[in-house]
Amino acid sequence: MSARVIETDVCIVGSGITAAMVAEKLADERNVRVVVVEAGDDMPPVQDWYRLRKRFLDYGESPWPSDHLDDASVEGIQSRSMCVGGLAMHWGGVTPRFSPEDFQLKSSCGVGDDWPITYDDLDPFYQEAEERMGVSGEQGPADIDPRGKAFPLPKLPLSYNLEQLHGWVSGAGIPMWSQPSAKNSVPYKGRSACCRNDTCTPICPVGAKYSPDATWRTLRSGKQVTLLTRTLVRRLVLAAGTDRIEVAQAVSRDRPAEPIEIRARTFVVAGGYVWSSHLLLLSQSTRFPNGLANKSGLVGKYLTGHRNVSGFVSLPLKLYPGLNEQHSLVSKHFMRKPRYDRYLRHDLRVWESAVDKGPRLRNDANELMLGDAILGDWRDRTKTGTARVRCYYDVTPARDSELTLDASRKNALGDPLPKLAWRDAESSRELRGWQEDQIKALFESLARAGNGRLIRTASDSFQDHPAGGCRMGKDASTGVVDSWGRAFEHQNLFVVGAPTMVSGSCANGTLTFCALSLRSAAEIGKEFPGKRM
Amino acid sequence: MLSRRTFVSWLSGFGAALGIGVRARTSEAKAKDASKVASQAPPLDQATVTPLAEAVLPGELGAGFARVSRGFTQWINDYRAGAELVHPYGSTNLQRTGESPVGRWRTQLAQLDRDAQTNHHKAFGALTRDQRREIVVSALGTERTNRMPDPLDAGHVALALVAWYFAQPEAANLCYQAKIDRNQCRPLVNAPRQPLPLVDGRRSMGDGRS
Repeated sequence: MSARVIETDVCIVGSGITAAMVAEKLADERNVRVVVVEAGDDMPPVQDWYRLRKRFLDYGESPWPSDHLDDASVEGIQSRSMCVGGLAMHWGGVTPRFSPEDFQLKSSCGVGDDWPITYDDLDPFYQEAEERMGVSGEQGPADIDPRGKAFPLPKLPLSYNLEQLHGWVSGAGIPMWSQPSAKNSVPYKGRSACCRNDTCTPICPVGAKYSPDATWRTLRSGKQVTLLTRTLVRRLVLAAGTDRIEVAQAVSRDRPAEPIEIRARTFVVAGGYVWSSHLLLLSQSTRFPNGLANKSGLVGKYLTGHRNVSGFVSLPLKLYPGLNEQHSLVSKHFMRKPRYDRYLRHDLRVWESAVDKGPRLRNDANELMLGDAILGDWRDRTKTGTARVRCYYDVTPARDSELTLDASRKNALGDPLPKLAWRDAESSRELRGWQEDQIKALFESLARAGNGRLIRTASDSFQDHPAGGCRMGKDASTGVVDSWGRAFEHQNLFVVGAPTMVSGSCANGTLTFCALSLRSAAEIGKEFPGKRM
Repeated sequence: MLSRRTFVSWLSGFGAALGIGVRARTSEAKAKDASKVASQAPPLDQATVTPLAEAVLPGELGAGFARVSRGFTQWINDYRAGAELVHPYGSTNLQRTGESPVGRWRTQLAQLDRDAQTNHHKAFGALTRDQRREIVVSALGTERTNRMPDPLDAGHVALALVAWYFAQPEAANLCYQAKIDRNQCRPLVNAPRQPLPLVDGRRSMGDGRS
């Protein structure tokens, strides 16, 4: 059967948050046609979100039904989200920047690798990402929280609870401030202000939290960007005798027997940390038997992220859990040059919490309580409050922290599925126990400073905000792509966002994924005529 | 089980404190069968729940027992077996809601009535609050629950009702005697203010003016 052919200037594979950033910037600044190819479905419109949220609150139901492909599962850490908007349809909207040290870990801290760009290189793109999404923020002390311009939106106000907790941590000598977030503190770009519904994850019922569907709605109403849904790109294919990508071979989920070819001048892989490497590895050919952009063997390697240690602190403070549970205080105090004898950098966040302060069925004497007894017991135990504390700490990835093709598991089309294995570099492995002990000691000291008590701590083996697999480097021996996301081996192939990261920092990664993508978009756009601004 | 990310804040707050709504309840295959069962199950009748609510919920509810019972029965009658549960970052598992507990609860409510007849020769609803509570406590004798259960997984309808009620924002308002109005739309500008005391000292009207 002959393929249906679609011709365009730029083909973007994936429609998550980084794809949205690239498509929007290109459409805003360039005379360029863009086709975005998404394997998943559209998600329900915003007018349905209150109803979907209610079912989530009442029963734990997913507010994003059918947001994944049943046969696109992965062995290892993976988020089951493949839909228009991607994983950012249910992200928390938390948008800290990385610190300058993150980009020069080797030269400033003696661990890991330096990125081929600096914080200053990325600062304008951080700003742009914040403006495109609408980030409400408060700058911390300039020496630990540098930025070129002010946040586009005023900070999210601290709740009464966070004000109390701010007093506590300030007394312990730690500067903390309102967590920057892609949640509107005032109406912005046609989206309403946050009204503390407090279910940012998994769904903001009023659209005050940025999610990529907002960008796609705007772009689809114009003429430059076409979004193909339910269309899975299976291979990228080179033009004969060249290293340029010519075609994205895809298949419609509705008409799987009908192949689709998207022909473009430039191809942008925006499939996140799993599906970007996966697509390059699947795109094997005689000349590239290990997949595209992979002569160095680095595709799929150096998967990165950060782990966390969390805890709960009982404090002699009257708190009212539920005022705004998903908002927090943040500090970069421990993210700058290491404050410990050995290598450890981490963020610090503090939330209100109801842990250890909820109603219970049995009293301390193990007697069953009902009605008034439960209420009375609950009141007695809520005269004081609980704070939740958490530190992300960075992990240096090993080369074989990797995504590979799993020949034993295939999707419905017969393509091998990804297999993920996370491995620390030896230096990180050796430090892990000591690092987690230091963080727990910090929690203990915080509790003491507030005349409180550390209730419990937990260390999570999960690496959050996963990234890597197509890391950027100075040349083809150290990276899959250059600092702009352009593949060293294929001039018209870009990988954007999370996969290109060298290391995962110790703070939420999504804003950095977006800033990197916008920087890539700036480079991609140079090949197309600009619009009169 | 659901992994950390999606419920991370909620788990740290009331969700974890109450132990509700945070666990996957069944495998996908099992839930498909459960869906058939649920579609055949008649709804729970509020009239059978109110006498139980009067026995196991706080007396401060006053005239609110019927309202809470109505909320509880509406909640469980709107339950859908086989619905996809939220699947958060980092979790490959897809899980669905399990079988509706309505049938089991109806049997337990009928048993409470039989126990009332046996012990007092009256219907459960005709007993005093203390008598009803005594029967409930006896029925819960074998329950080993220490923490507030997920209402859907509670071993007895009385525990389900207690757990469901105490998970409501209204119950937190009653406990704190303040209009916290958790999970309701509240102006951001009011966030820094200490929540206002309850107007009548007994229950929140939930009007969002915290």
